[in-house]
Amino acid sequence: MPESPEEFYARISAAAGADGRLPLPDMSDWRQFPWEVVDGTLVAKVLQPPVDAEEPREGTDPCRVCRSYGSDRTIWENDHFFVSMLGSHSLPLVLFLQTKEHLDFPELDDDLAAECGRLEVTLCRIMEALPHIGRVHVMRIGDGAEHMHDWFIARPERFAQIIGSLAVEWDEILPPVPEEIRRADAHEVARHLATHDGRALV
Amino acid sequence: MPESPEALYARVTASGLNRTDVAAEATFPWQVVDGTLEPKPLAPPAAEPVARTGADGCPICASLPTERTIWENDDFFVSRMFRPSGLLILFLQTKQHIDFTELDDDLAAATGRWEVILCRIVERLPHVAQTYVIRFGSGAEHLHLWFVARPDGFPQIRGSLGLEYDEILPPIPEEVLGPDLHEIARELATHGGRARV
Ligand SMILES: [Zn+2]
Ligand SMILES: [Zn+2]
Repeated sequence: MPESPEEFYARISAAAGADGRLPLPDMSDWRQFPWEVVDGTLVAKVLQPPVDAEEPREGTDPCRVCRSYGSDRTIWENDHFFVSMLGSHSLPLVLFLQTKEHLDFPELDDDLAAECGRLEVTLCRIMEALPHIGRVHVMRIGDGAEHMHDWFIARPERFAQIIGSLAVEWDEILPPVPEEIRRADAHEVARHLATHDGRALV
Repeated sequence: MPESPEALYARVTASGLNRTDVAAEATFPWQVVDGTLEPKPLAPPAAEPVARTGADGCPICASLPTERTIWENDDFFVSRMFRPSGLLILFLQTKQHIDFTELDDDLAAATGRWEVILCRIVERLPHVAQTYVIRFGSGAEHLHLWFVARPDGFPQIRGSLGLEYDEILPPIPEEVLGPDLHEIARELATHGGRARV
């Protein structure tokens, strides 16, 4: 079961040390990080002129999503989809719903789109029913790889700071969830999902 | 059609970035201490979860008959963003007051099909690189999926942080946005339902 908010907070406080300060994550160096400090004040970074061509997304050669199928990160599958864990995460649970076929989200045909909708709702419901989960964010971003991968990000309950669209940034800030906790929760989710359809692989 | 990257850049450069108050929000994760950026300390958990807007005074139910609605069918409606915004943002919502996790099998399947159709339509607009489809659900319990079009050509505006540019960029002018909404609604209606703009 995910940690209670009190357990979660105790683990983070221990990692942060006496002054409660967590180290600045690498994220702040990302080109996509929108903020910087100028003369002691937080401001939005100046927008740079457009580039002639964007860096391409990861395509078929090689595709990380295709290659991950069948690895120990895969926790569930049916004929068309599989669910994987993220390698490491700091919010309570982060899973991906992916097609077995190398398809981009807008390329799903009517039947796959309908099945995708049903699985999104089922997986979201199962994760949100875990103890101590506040809400599950379901996100198709698709900027990194063209192969469809919907994010399912469970945020903890009762932290007024970890809520809404910025909650995902805490996944970079907080220390990672211990392996035995996140594995056990992923197993529980896979087992539940398999009562609806498909097979649990863990 | 959405602005070209060059037109967007020229407009942003001319008007400047918003003096965004995102940084003042309780959920903003960063602060400046002694001139240095750092994550805010995490405050202890509250006794109760943060309440969402429920059925009583639901802004989504109330928005259906308004001019924010650009398309509808029997079960769903699509609305434009509720405030001026720097990115093209739409919402797919159920007519019934239900949460995403309460959708039955038929509505969930229909949601999946409309997600893909609307995503595809927005992504095919010129100068749109990618369309994000997101369910947060932390503000209101009534289902509302975000569709956020990311403009082409700006490596800074990419990935999950791209959403923050909605408040950082100056709002899209109505003369650009209006025709795009009309075009999207018209294309949606070729798949079913009725355009309202
Ligand atoms: Zn692939
Ligand atoms: Zn409502």
